[in-house]
Amino acid sequence: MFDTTRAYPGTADTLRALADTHAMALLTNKPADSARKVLAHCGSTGSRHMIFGDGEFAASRTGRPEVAHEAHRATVKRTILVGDSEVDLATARAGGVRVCLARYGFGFVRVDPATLAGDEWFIDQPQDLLGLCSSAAGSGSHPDSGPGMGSDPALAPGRRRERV
Amino acid sequence: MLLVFDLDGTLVDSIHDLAEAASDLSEASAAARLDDETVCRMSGKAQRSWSSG
Repeated sequence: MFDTTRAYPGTADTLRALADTHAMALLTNKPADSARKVLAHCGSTGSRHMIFGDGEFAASRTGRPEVAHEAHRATVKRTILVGDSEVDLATARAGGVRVCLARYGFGFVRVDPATLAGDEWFIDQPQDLLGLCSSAAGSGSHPDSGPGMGSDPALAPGRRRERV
Repeated sequence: MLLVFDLDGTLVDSIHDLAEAASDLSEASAAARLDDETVCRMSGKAQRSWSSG
């Protein structure tokens, strides 16, 4: 199961940093237990994720209650789907949520970056999520955005992270 | 914000293990083994039912 599978460099540190200010969930076709094992094997902070696995929902036993609360009251405009493929893009569009695609992911080869518009971005490394999420959270669409979530015009929603 | 992550290809580079597992299954069914590129094209497609629902 884990012969060659590895977290992309920077993923674990990025997830740890994001967990301080954002609720996080994992959406996968894998059963929740398998998804948790993959995350743990790769050194990612899977214990802080809520897992939306194949037909299952499992809130983390070690997750902070306020994180779960944040997830339950999340609106589509306060949600970003982070994926890599055209399937993830279609999923986000169908759900009306913002989307960020990992250009380094193996699914990105079938994505046409020219079709990304509005609240649709791509990133070149996991660490890029930090600035993007900070900017998206502070974009002013929602008055309950927390303090300290600054806005970087270069990453403001409505602009792509980078053009190919 | 709520961040919802995909796993394969987003957090983890798992394409080769996915291809190996798919090939093992395919071989057990007396079919041909699958290379990484083929499995890459197949991966995640089950989500379509979720995204179109």
